[in-house]
Amino acid sequence: MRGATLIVLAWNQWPTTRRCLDSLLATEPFAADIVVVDNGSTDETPRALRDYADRVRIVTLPDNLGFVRGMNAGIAAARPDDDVVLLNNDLVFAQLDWLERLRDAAYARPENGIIGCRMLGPEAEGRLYHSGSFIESDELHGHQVETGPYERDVAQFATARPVQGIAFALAYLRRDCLARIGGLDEIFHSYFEDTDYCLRAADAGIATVNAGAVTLRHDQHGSTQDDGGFRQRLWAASRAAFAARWQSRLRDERRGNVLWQGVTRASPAHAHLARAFVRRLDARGLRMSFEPVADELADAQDFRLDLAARRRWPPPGDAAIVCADGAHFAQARTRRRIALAFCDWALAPAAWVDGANALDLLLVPDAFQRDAFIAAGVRTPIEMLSIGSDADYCHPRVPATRDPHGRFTFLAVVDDIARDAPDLLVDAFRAAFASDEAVALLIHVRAGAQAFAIARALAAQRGSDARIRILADWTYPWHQRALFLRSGDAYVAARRGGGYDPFAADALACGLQLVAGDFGSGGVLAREHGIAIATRRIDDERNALPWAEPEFDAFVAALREARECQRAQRDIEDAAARFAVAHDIETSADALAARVGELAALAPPRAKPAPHRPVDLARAPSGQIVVLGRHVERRRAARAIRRPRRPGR
Amino acid sequence: MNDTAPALDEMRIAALATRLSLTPRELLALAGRVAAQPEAPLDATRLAADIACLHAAPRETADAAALLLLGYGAYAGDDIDHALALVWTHTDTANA
Repeated sequence: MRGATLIVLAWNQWPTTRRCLDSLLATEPFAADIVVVDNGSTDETPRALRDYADRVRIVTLPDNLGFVRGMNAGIAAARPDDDVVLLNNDLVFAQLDWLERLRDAAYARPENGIIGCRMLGPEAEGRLYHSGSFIESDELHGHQVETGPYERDVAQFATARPVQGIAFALAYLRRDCLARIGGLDEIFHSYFEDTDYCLRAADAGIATVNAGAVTLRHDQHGSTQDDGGFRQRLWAASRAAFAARWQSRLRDERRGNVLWQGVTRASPAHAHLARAFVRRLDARGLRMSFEPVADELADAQDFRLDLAARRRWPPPGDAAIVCADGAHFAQARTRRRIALAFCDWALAPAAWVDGANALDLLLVPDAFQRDAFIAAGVRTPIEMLSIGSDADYCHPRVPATRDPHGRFTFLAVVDDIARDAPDLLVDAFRAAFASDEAVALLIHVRAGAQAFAIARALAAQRGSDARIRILADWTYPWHQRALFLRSGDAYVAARRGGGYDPFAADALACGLQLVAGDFGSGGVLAREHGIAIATRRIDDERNALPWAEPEFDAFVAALREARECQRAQRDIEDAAARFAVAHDIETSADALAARVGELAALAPPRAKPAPHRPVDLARAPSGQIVVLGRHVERRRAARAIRRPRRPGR
Repeated sequence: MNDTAPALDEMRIAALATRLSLTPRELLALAGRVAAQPEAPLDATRLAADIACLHAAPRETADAAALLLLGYGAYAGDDIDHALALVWTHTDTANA
């Protein structure tokens, strides 16, 4: 195994550096050499560092040379065969095996070269400050979390994933990457050098990966605070240098102008799709703009969606995607008109048909929706776009605020009393379980026109039955939806309406059971992954369109079946992982981006450089063989290869 | 849980707005400004000053009115685990 030189860069702020070193040394990093670069400190740092001289090497610079030259001095002092880990002095280490986990990520694939990690800010509740960065070409603001704002830590981005860049507050650089790319570029003093490095590495086929299994605390800017505007000036100078090198290139990689015509509030399902797809299409090189089709103040909760809403739409544009109910199809404008749509009924409303037939393409999430539009007389091409779940946010390891009594908990979400049938759910729940059984039902009534009426009706129906809880009067950030889901064991979508419900797939990705009526989009999922309840066709009294109501006895039986199928945690995690792989929103976004590009005849994405392979290096890596994505010592690897385990042993 | 707001009398609101040379939506924004400073005396001078502010910033006024019309002010906007903690210790959030 290759060793690692850990380089801590310090400039004054000794208490910050001491906290970093003490927490770092307490983790007893394996096969590591620690180098502290004192970047010309004028406080007690030089004297205090001498007390650590038996545990760290100290490189003293005569003056503050800035982050880049300071780190380059550390890299020059590193043991020549070592990998290198760049560390800010405002980090705090709590995970004992952080370095081993970074090594695992670094050697999981031969093309990996730059590894970062999750970093939390100092807030008591836990805010995610970094999970892999990206920079967009309009404003050249680097963002350290995929959605932009500092979200609550809800165990998001907990897996290793390729990213455009990482913040070099912590950067594990594999030696073969350093050999190929060199040190940090000294045209930067501080700031933007990390993004520049990652982009140059990407041009060489070297992947940057964020290791979600590692989480550190980072008191961002703790190392340069109280600087009288010095930091801002450095940032502006580095930004100018970065812009000169990269801005045109980043702009040129845009492949087309695409307008998302949707909503960010109501309906929640359409708002979910805007948040799910706009940022992903933008990240795939489509220059996205956003236009609300309803009278709303945008509630983006996502940097790229917010940026898309602020962009000027350059007519005629290449394609528009309307994601709203069919009454808005006719608003689609631009050369190519697409809708991503669904409806609650087995027959799409007649009023939607003319608008649908003016489209170039209608995308629907499943066969039920396709059939509903065809049955209504839609002749425009209809294709299915499977809408996956976001496993970065929805997975079984999301922390849960559970019922303190440990009861098996059913969850439901209600917006519309006729469509969502919460009254039927309450009756079925009461019929399914005796009053002393350890079960609970939590109904979330979401903000909307009917919310107060629904909550009042449910409260009256529930009476004094304390097993049934109503969560009303509450809105919460979209990124926290898995916190809600993880508070339950089964998600119940036994509705009359058959429209797309994002909570159903997210619940499965979180490891919950799904109980849904055998009708509509929920039925499609429940038949394969959950418990599907037999239904009977009825008409929606508001428009006489056909939908379906769960059969009461079957509903009761399904609730009991879910209760009796309570699973072990490992089974839950296995099932959730299988579902997430088969229903990945990233795959959905790939398909949508490709289809839009094809329909609008956009230029294909720029070809990626050949993946980096360590064998390309003049100097072969020493002491390791990469076997099946793992790094093992040469001797151990040879032994493993000579003596394979036989079946049955 | 809040009760449903009583139905607004559109005619009266329109009449009052016209009297103040405002649109109904501008009147809503004006009400928001007045409500935000309950300690300040409400007289003709203050009303004139607030109306001048609204006219000077039509975009912000439209946004403010839209926000009020959304009704989201009736809801707590907070972390969901806080709501769950309340739900499991009270009957529901409405009675917390």
